[in-house]
Amino acid sequence: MNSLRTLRYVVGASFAAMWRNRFTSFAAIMTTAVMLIVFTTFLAINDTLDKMIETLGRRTNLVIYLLDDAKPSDVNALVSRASSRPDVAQVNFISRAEAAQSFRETLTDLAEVLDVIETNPFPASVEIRMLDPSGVLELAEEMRADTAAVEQVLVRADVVGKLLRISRLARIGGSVIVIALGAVTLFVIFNTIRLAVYSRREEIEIMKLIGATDWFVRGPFVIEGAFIGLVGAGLAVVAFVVAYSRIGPTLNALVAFLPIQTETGFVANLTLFTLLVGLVVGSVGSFFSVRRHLET
Amino acid sequence: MIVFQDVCKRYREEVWALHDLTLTIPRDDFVFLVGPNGAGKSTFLKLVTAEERPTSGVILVGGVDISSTANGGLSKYRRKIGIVFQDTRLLGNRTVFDNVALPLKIAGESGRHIRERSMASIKTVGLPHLANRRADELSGGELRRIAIARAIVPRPEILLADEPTDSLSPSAAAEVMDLLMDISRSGVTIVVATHHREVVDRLRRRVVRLDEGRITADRATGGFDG
Repeated sequence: MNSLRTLRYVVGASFAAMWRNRFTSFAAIMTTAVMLIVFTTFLAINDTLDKMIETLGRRTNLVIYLLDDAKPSDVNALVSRASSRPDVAQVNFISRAEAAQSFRETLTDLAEVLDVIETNPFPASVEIRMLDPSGVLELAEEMRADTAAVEQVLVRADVVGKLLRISRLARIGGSVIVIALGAVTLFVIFNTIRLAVYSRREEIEIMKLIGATDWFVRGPFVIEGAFIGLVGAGLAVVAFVVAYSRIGPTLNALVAFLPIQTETGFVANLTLFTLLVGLVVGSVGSFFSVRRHLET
Repeated sequence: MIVFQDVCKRYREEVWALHDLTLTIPRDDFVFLVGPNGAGKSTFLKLVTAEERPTSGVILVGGVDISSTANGGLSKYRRKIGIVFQDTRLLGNRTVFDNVALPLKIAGESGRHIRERSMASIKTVGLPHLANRRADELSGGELRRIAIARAIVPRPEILLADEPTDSLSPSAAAEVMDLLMDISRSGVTIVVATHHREVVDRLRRRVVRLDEGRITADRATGGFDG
């Protein structure tokens, strides 16, 4: 019964304290919200960069167009030779029929052209994706030398290689910024709560001296910290979702190669993560901020 | 009963607040601790509340050695002690009632008990009309009385008062001391640290004089100068 009364008191005291110190609480909530907006935005940017790198990595570096009269044994030999290289990630053989089908599916408006000309104008091809694009020119030369099966070799490696290098740097930079920003967010929120606790250090000391247990003193602060963190994160999430739902599709339309995620799952995950960060940082920050004043 | 046995307290290297202090205060006793500033009066009280720990020696309160009690065990012990701090240490942004009720809330008492006993305490110090006023709106004398009300509300076995008449008018000081005398008659052990000669001389109770951390006089019914 006593524990229940104490719990009721602790919860009541935390909200009463927030109301009494409403300006400090408001400042702490707004600081948390601003820091989490910045943090969440960088998480979304980092995710977009990740997706861009993934998309670039999936692109074909080398396309080998085959002679229409190439023997299947020569084509098989070419595919095996390419597949056996350690710097090749993937080799795909596209038959003439598959090439025509792909044309029909990709460019539906022009599909009728194929019906008009009646014959299949597309050559069979072999698409190669490199693990390391640096060896692509050498591979292209090797393939060009295979006159029995190869008609033409198309190399996309230069552009892709450069993009990959830039993206790799961007990914490392993005991760560093997210980690640094995460640390700054934690530091700012933690210190805001610590200041709020510091302004009430005398209250903590008095309560300890008249017989309060550590948990009786700490409880309201932890609940208060959790509430401030959660409300701050809630505000950050609302601001982020509103801005993202307006800016995301516009950016996607303007810059087609930017894979900005607009689906509900991604936003929901980011929302939950931000709320969790607010809740944990707020409550844990309060827990440790009060600890140093409990030694009376 | 409060027993100090060869208690020393050193704050920094070479700064001794108490020197080999040995003193027994029986249950129900009313004791004045007198002496100049820095004599060790406040340190003595802080050692009883375990706000400070002795450098050496043993402190027994109610038969329990509090000099070696772990921090976790102090909360229950402190609920048996009422403290009137020199600067009252009331929470200025709370009402008088909330301040007085705090020890009972800490003890997990029921709402009805808290209301009845807090109001009874506030009545005991003669200020029931101020129950809903914020503490930072009270005068010095009223604050002292409310601090006493908070100290007695958990019905403590021991009441410690550190300079309870400091900066009060003579009449307000007399009222506060009469209040402490009344509480003493209900069986509470009371230790009052003071440097007010008039207060000590008027009540003629046991006086322990401290100087530079040592007991220089201990008289059963003395005046300020012995």
